[in-house]
Amino acid sequence: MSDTGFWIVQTLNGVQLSLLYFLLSVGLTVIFGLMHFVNLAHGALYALGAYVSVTVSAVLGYWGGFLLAPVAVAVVGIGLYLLLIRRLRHADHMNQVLVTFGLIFVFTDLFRIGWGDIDLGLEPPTLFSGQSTVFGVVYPTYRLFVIALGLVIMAALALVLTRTQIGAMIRAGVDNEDMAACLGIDVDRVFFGVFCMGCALAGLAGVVAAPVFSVTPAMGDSVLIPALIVVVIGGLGSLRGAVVGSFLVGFIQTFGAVIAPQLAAMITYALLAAVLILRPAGLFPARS
Amino acid sequence: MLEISSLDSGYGDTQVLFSLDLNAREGEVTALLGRNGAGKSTTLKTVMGLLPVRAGTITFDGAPLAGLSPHAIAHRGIAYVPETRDIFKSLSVRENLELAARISPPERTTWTLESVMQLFPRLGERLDNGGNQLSGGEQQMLAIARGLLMNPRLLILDEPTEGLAPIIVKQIGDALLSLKSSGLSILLVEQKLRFAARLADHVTVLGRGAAVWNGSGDELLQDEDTKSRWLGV
Repeated sequence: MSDTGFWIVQTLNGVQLSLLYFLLSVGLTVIFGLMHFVNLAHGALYALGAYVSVTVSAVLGYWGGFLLAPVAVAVVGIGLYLLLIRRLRHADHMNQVLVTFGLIFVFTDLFRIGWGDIDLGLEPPTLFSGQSTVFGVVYPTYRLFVIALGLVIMAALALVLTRTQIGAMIRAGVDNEDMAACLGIDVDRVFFGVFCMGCALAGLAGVVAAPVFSVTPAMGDSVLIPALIVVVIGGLGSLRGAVVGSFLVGFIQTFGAVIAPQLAAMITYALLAAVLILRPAGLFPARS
Repeated sequence: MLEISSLDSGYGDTQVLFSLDLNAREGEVTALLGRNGAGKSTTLKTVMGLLPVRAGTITFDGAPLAGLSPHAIAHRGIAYVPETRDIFKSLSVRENLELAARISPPERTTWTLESVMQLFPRLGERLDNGGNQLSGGEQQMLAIARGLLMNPRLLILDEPTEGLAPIIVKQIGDALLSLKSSGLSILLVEQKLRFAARLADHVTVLGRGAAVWNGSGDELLQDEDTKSRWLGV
């Protein structure tokens, strides 16, 4: 592979990883921004999406899992909301962190009990198996599909948030919850909807990641920290922040791993520290 | 219309209102006056459900409001314009207005985007600006317009002229006078005695969390004792 080819492939890898982080962090950031709620179990929901897709696709094929896993994860999210999260909504952050951190262990053990402590894999759909040539390089077709899907969802979310009344209600709630309520917006209901959507997107990220990475009980842990960093760098509750933060973290991790593998992890944290010092509210704060 | 009786309320460990009685009558402007810390804003926040009722009752058209969430109270027909204006800065002026118009009941159509722009022509020029691009006066106009677009039965205003230039205070005052003549019920919290007395049909003076004086604006202007004792004038 030529030098240019190598960098094109790395760029595509970076875009793909960034979009995966976007799918995970967009739900987290809006939940954070709207209700100041810290959901550390978000990574476990991503893993749940991957596991459900492995099981469902064994019967219904990849697309069965693709459609059903986000729904299943959203249903689990509804259960979590009704049982725990609704009660924690006005608790302080330490309690939220402790409970949702505990959920990570519960989910991880449930995955071990249900699917075993081994790496599972998921075949990409026939439609997107094999390789394609883009920009003069050969690249897995499935990964191009992940990129396209991520871009479509990003555009759809941007449209909903900026062009619809539901989007305006969400932005108003993030900006000033009390005032939004005084204008007759049922902020709890908006939050519930956003929470379910965030869970479904985490599940979807799990499905699309399953054929790229291996499916393991702890797979959620490896994406949780980058997703949280994206949220903090971008600014709580900000869609634009989630987009920019995802690309920063995704590219730093991808290019860091090939240019300076020893430093890659450190650069991400250095970026986080720099943002916290220089712009504590994030690069694109949603709240005024 | 709005009847508050024996109301206790406050923040955390601090009780601010002590057995407060207050009435706002239909079609009238009721002004709530008092020094800083007398409990004026606390009263409004408790009416809106932003602070819990600790004792006493608040009824609106005979139905109790205590325990209702702010969004349910807004749906009952009470619009609240807070002291801090609380314009959504990430939304455009138009979006701010459209969100409020969402809950306007179908049978009440007095206030539309067009009619609030007639009241505040400045807003018409700013419709596509972001909420973060407005001057203080424009923010206040938007906050009032937003309340009106809910087509409320009662409009609650918390110090609408605070921190504004005299020319803007006059514009807001003129707008409030025209709202009064349209028959809209208003509950107004103010620090500016003359401004409030000119608008109000009825004035309640608040001192240390309770009502200490009731009467008309003219009566208050002539009551030197009440003015110096409770308003520091």
